[in-house]
Amino acid sequence: MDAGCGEIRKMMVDQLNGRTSADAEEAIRLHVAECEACQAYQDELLGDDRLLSEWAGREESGMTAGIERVIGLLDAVWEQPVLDTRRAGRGRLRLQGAIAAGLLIGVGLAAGLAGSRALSGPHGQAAAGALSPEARAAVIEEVLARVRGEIEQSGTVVRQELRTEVAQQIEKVAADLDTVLDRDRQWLASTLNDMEQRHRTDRASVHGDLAKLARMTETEFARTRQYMVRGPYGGGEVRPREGGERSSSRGQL
Amino acid sequence: MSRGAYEGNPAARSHVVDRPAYAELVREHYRCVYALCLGMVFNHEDARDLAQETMLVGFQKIRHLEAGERFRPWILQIARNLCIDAIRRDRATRQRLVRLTQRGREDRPEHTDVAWAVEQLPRELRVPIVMFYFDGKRAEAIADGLNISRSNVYKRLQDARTRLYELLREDH
Repeated sequence: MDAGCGEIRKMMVDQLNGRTSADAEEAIRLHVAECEACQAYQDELLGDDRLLSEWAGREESGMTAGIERVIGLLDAVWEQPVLDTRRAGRGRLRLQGAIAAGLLIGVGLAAGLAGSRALSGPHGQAAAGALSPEARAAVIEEVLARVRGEIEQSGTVVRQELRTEVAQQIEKVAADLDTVLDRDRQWLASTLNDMEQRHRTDRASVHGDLAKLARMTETEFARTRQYMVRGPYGGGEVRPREGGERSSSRGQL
Repeated sequence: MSRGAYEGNPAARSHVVDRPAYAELVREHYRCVYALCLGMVFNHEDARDLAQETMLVGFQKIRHLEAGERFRPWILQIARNLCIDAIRRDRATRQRLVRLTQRGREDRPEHTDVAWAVEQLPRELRVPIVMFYFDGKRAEAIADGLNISRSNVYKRLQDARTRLYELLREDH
């Protein structure tokens, strides 16, 4: 592919999009006569174009039916109040109702026509009071489709409402939990405070008791010492203990 | 009242709207509305419902069409709003549109190659290419309907074709 191929291929695409000129077409024609790769590319582009056209063509009958259906419904819809696009959801429901009603009327009319035609045939009397099977099937199919649509839409609304309700409940529970947690936090803080205060009081009291005990011990120790050094009568004799040799020997010291 | 009355004549604001004249507008513009809806939601049934709804809403609101305002961009704006509403409202459509980007080439039958490839395009390329093929291959009509310049339409169509060319020739 030389430098000109890119430009030519762009022209080919433009040509398919309807933007072309006699000069561009001539340039393409001359180029593909010389360049096999671009010739192949053009063939492939044309193949894609054909496939796309065929794809759109397959929907042609559906589009024609759609046009006729809309035209058939215009009278039914015209009686409805003007819709507000901001309330398209509700509007859609009303429109669907109108569409369903219109379809029923349309199919009913078609059935009536079929019936009146049948009256002129050999079995006219038998067919006069009944819908043709095709018409009946069409009515049932349309009604079912509409009912299904309505149910789906109602389901969507109910789901949304449920979702909102659940979200509100969750929010409420979360708020309640917050309150409970706050209360617990306050209780814990106050309990800790009390415990700390009690601990301080207890410590002070223990210190006091220990000091008292130390003082008492000291007094007792002094008294014992005095007793041991001077004896109970202050004269230095030690009063002998009954049957105690050690006491008497200590007294001799 | 003739169709021209809707195409810029102050009579479009008249409360007496002629049903046959509107029917003519439906015949003329239904395809582009359908193509826009198909490009947006990429589902034939949904596109059909939305196109019909658009034309009926348009009929109800035709009295509000401003003098000098053209019908085609006006009705396509209604269609675009309805499509966006439908996509927002319908979870299934949303999920399907998300799946489009995840679906592999092996997941679809051979004969839907082109439809599959178009599905893969981003919306700004998909809508013009669908409108091109479903509404008479007129780039100027797309520019008019989407309210963008003609050169922008050509650019998008070119990008779309280049991408389609690649997608259709990717290895399986």
